[in-house]
Amino acid sequence: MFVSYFGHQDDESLADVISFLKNHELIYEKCSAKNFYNRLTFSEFDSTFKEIRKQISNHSIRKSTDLLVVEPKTAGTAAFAARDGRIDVVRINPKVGLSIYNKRYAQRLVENDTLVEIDLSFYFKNYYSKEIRQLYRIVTSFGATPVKYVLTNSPRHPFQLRSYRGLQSLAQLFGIERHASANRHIREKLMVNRKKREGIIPTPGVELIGREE
Amino acid sequence: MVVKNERKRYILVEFYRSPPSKRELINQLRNNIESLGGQLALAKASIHVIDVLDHFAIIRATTESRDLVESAIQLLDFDDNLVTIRVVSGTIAKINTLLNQEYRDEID
Repeated sequence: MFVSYFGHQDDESLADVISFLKNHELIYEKCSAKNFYNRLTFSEFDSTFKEIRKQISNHSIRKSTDLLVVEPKTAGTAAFAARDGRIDVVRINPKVGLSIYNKRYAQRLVENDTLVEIDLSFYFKNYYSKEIRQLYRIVTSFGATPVKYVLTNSPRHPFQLRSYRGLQSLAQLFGIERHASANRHIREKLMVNRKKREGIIPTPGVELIGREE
Repeated sequence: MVVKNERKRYILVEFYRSPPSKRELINQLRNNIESLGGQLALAKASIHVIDVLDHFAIIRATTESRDLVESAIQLLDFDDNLVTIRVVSGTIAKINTLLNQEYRDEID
């Protein structure tokens, strides 16, 4: 079962989550840290663009994290997040609206193979039509561009975890097709990032075969 | 002769702790479907809770409304209970086979 993952930087640490899941018999003993992954989310709502850029340029960050996520608030940060090869995922905040997210931006994301993360946590509130409206406008503005989506519900507790297939059915209600938000997008990204960390992929486009042995 | 036009899907749902009562489950499902798709969608879905077992529940819905029902299942909120969709099938026989296998594994 590949479940939705913890979506924000102030979440519980990975070790705590694994121990909780093991104690409650939610995962088997053979599951280890390999089945999970670390991610870092830089939100412009919490810090400035300068701080984000400084933190991303720190090489030690890459050694400890599998995935780097940026949540832009301004057009400058959004452009940086789309063109920078170190950033894997751009997290969409519906509050920002169409001023940043449009078809041209989607094309740039596709060119640089950057994933788009969509938070579906609003579904778990009572009134969510307002938020769906904004998100729906952003998704439709991307048009037919083959954007790769990643879905999450930003769980704060392991009991809030949901299956990925379930999140896909929630996203399908407002126009994100299942193949666009496929699970393999993030799996492929993680695999490449792990290979980069291990030195199997020294530069983009080059893979040392037989290095694993 | 009566012809069945609607194709069905049987959804096996697993609960981490003991599942809620049949009535509680169907009420919350109906509320969720109504809030997501409205009364018309609820009517088209024709949901039916077939059985509630130890840790499982079997829900029947139409094929067209499968995604809507799955979404409604994701939004189920019972205190400290994790809800997971185990399998979706077009026949109940397959669900029963899987359930029998689960129980056999537990006995072993």
